[in-house]
Amino acid sequence: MNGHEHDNPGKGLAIAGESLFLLNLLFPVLPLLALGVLYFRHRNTANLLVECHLKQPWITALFSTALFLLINLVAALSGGYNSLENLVSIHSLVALEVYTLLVILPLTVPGLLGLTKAMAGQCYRYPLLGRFL
Amino acid sequence: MKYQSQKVAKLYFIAAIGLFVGQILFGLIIGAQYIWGDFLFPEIPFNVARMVHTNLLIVWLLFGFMGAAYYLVPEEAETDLVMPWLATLMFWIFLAAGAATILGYLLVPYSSLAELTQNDLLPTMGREFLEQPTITKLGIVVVALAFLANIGLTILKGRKTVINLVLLMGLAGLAVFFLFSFFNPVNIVWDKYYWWWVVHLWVEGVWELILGSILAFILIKTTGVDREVIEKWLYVIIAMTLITGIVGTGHHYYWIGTPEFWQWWGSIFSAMEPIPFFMMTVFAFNMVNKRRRNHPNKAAVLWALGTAVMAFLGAGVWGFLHTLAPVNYYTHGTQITAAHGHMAFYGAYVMINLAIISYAMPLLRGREAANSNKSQVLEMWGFWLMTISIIFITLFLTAAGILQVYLQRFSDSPMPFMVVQEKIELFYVLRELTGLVFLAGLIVYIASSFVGSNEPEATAEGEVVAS
Repeated sequence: MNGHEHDNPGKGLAIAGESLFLLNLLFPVLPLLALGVLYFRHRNTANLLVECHLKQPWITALFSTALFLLINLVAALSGGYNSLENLVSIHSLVALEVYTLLVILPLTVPGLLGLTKAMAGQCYRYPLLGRFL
Repeated sequence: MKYQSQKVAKLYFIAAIGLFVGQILFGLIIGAQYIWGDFLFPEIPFNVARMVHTNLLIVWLLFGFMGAAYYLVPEEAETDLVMPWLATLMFWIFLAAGAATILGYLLVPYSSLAELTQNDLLPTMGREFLEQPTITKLGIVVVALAFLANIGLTILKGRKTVINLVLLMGLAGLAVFFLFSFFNPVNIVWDKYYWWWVVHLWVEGVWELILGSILAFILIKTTGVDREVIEKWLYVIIAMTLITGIVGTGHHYYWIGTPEFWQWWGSIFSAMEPIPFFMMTVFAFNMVNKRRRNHPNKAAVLWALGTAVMAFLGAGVWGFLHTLAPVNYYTHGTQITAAHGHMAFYGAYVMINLAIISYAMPLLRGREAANSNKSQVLEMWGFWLMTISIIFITLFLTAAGILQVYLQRFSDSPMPFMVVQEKIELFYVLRELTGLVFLAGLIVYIASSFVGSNEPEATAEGEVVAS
C-alpha cells in the first residue's frame, strides 16, 4: 500500500497543498493565494494524488477564509477596529475566539490527517465537506 | 516480554488504574457539588474532594510513567533492570505514602494534618496541587531518587538509545523541578513564580519529553518503522517543546505581580506551544501510514494515535484559546481554564499512560503480542466512550466559561461569582452526566482486561509492503 510513494511525482505538490491549507487556518489570506496558484496551475492534472490534495484544501480554505472575513466583518460592524488603538479590543478578541472554536478547531484535524496521508502518498477525503467535493 | 525485570511494571500499571478510578469518582463528587452545593457535606467538603481529585491524578500518572520506564528501559537498553527489588520496594513505599496522604486529606482537617505532620518545621503545604504534607514530599523525593538511580544505572549499563535518553532527561527534570515544591517564600509573588516551576515546567516541559519518548517507543514496536526515522522526529519534537515551553511559563506570569514584559514573552512563546503537539500528531500518523507491518494490538495503536490528536486539541488548541495576554485578561481562572485542563491532561498524559499499558499489559500477562479480539473490541469501546465524554466535558465547560466571562467580567453590570455559578448550572449538569459516561467508559476499559482471557490472541490482518 505504501510501496510507490517515492515514485509519485505529485507527492511534493500534495504535501504543499495540505500545508498551505493548515497555514491558511492560522494566518488566513496569503497562504490561500499561494494555494490558489497551485490549484489553478494543476487543476487539470491526471494525477489523482495531486487532485485529491489540492482541490479539497483549496475549496475548504476558501470556505474557512470566507468565515474568517465574515467573523471580522461582524466584529468591525459592531464597533471593533475603528482605530489603531482599538485593534486589540473585546470585539477582536471575541472574533479570535469564535474563529478558533468554529473554524480552526473543526478544520485542523482533517488538515492534519490530509497532510499525513499526503506525506504517505495516499489520497484522503475530508469528513463531511469531502463528500461534496 | 524480553526481560524478566520488566515484570515490575505490572504492579505500577495496576496501581495506576486503581488510582485513576479513585480520581474519576472524586471528579464526579465535585461535579455533583457544582450542582448541589451541600452534596456529601460536611463529610467530603468541595475543597477536600478537589484536592483528592487532582492529587490522585498526579500520583497515578507518576505511577504510570514509572511503570512505563520500568517496562521500556530494559527493552531499549537490552539488559535487565539493575535493581528490580528496589523498584518493587519503592512501589510499596510510594503506594503506602500516597494512600496515607489521601486518607489524611479525607479523615483529618487540613490544618490538623499540617500540625500532625510537623509542617511548621519545613512549611510546604497549602498550595494548589502541592498540598501533600512535607513528609510525603520528602518520601516522593526518596522514591524519585531511587527510581532515577535504577533507571539511570540500567541505561548506563546497557544500550543508549534516543528514546531511553529522552525519557531519562524527562524523568530527571521531573525530579529536579519537584524540588521547587520545598521552596515556599513568604512573598506571594515569589511563591507563585516558583510554584509554576513545578506545575508548568512539569506538564508543559519535562512531561512532554516523557510523552514523546513513550509514544516513540510504542510506534517503533507497533509500526516497524526504522528507529532512525522515529528518533529524528523525536529530536525535533523535544527541541520545539523546550524552546516554546520553557519561556512559555510566562503565560502564568501575566497577573501575579511580575514585570509587564512577561505579557509579551508569555504570549509569543505560549502561542507557539501547539507546534510540538502539532508535530507529534503528524509524526504519529506518518509513522502509522508508513508502517511495515500491521500489529495485532490494534487497541494500543488506537491509543497512540488518540494521544497525538487529543493532546494537540486539548493542550494545543484549547491552550491557545486563552493564552494570549489580552484574552487571558478576561478568561483567567474561569471554566475555560478548567476545559483546557481536562482535555489537555486526558489527551496528553492519561492517554499516553493508557497507550503504554495497552501495549505492555498483554505481554506482561504472558501473551505474545496482543489480547484477544474480544478483549480489544471492548477496550476500544472504552477508548471511544472516555474520549467522546472528555470532548463533551470540554465543550460544556468551554460554553460555561464563555458565559461566565461575559456575565462576570464583561457585561455592563457584572454579576458576583456565585450568582454567575447559578446561571451556568445547566452546563454543570450536562458535564456531570457526561462524567458518568466517562466512568462507564473506564469500567468498560477495565472489564476488557478480564474478558476473553481464554481466547486466542488477535492476529495481524494482511501484510504491508515496506515503504
